[in-house]
Amino acid sequence: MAELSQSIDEVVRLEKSRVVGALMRGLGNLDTAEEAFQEAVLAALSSWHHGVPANPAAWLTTAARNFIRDTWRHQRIVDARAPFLLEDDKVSPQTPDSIADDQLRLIFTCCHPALTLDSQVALTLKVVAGFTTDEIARAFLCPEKTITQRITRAKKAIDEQHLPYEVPERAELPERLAPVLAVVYLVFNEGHTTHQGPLMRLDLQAESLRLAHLLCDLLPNESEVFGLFSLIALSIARAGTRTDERGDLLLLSEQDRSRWDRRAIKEGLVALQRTRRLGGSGPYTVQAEISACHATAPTWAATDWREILRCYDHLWALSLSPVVALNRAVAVCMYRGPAAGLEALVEIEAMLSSYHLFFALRADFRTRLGQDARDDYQRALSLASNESERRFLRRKIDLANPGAM
Amino acid sequence: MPEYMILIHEPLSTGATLAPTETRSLLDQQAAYAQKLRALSAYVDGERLRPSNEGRRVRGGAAEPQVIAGPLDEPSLEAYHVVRAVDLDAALDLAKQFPVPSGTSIEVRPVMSGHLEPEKTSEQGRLFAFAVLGSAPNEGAWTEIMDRIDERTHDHFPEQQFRGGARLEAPSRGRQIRTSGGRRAIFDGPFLESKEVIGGLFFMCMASLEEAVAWAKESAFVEYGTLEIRELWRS
Repeated sequence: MAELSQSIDEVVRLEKSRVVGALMRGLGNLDTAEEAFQEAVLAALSSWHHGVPANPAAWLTTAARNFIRDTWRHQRIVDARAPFLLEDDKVSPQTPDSIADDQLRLIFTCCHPALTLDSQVALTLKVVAGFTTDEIARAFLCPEKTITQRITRAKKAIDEQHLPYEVPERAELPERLAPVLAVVYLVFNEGHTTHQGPLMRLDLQAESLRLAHLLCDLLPNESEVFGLFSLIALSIARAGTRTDERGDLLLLSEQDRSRWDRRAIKEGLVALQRTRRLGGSGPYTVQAEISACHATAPTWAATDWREILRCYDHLWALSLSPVVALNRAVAVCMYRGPAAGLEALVEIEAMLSSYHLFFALRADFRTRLGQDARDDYQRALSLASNESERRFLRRKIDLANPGAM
Repeated sequence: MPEYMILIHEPLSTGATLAPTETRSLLDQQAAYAQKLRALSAYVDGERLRPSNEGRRVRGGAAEPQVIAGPLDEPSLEAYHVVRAVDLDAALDLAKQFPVPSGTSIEVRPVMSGHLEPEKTSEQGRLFAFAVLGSAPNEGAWTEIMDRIDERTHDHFPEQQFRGGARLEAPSRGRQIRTSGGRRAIFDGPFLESKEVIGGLFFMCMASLEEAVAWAKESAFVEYGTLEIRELWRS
């Protein structure tokens, strides 16, 4: 029985965006749609004893519509909304196109630029990915109350500002797509950087891959959607080797490449083929290209640094982010040598004078040139807050100090 | 000009065991190959199939159709191309150039009838390939089964979900290319005794694999043969 309810849980979660998307068409109110969805789930729990029906989304949509109909009848609401209730899947069968459009509308509403990024993320995970506020809170290591507030505020903003529930026109698609991709990227990045907390049911990385995959199916001609999917797949492929048995971060140069997930790498490479075919050159695509260079290199030394440097030049022109500049310096060092790497760092020192990785990197370049770089390691140590990184830096200082050996 | 379907059957293990650097160069070479087909105006259609461990086979015959989860067979269908060529030999020449890992077998079969829609994966939604499989003691019996399936299923596709398809000529009219390293050896079309042989391929847009399986179970295909269901890969 426990197993059955777990599988219903999973089915319900995966179908949520389709059901809520269908309900939103004609209803237009997220709160009501979500409430009706919850009621439909309760009905499913008591009806699906003998197994999940062949089309669970249709079942749940009908049950949710019945709930809304009963509620409105009870409240004697008979008005312009009546046509919504008359809509029957038998009368107007859902085509694959209409399902896709319902899901897309829902995603674009949850990631509307009028909402804060925090709210977009919380709302997307709740409504599109189907997670509970408690699960989201645990994954982001913040109180459930905070997540609930973000979602409530977002729904209120959608209502009060009358945010349109629609798929953006072709012309404004790139602009409206940017926050959608940013939300998925943030979910991925959170999963990438958070440390192993208490057991979390919500695996943010896997979820970000699923969301990106859904976007690939809904927007199959947008190169950046495939760029993002590729980037996430290629990173997940290497996730298992990023830390040692103590949980300390391992550098890319130290990781056991034989343990990288070849299926996930292929997944990322195939998506990259598609972005190229679509003429992709946006930031996610370029990051995926870099990731692909790493994922396909037999060793750190045999990596295609020339191509990586070319990508970082492109990315730097697109984003002017200090972190990009830092990574670019690594590529410069690997392709042209540590002296050139040091030069690349000079240009960005002012921008990164309080960033520990800047000094850790400069120390590394100087060590390669045979210089004593303990002062830079010390400076990095004084700026680093992550314990695993601090251990790493102390080890470096000890190694650089002959007296300590 | 006649059309030929080139079916790529990879040893099941290849996709997973190829080193990433080899996977990458293979994908690049295959993309260049597709470009070349287009340049020659030989290109009609072509798609890559998602790994067979994600696929299903729905097999009829018994009272209740049997659903078999992947990985399916060894070797497994990895991709297909449909090309225009003057004759079978010209099609074989094109097929021989398809960049594949060693051990891959390439099947070339004349297209009998049907209509293929290129660039299917540019459309929204999840697209599934349905391979019509049948086994029989001899080719006469096999052709009879395929004829019966054709007759029963003709015009029975849900219009809004159907994305084209093709029926292939009998196996004896095709050829097989076996690869070993850079070498290519040509053999007669697939033999019937040992396994189920593909009789055609069609495509449908479905909400999920479960929906595709549910549709297949109800279809006339499984009364006489087997349907292999594989999602298309967007590449």
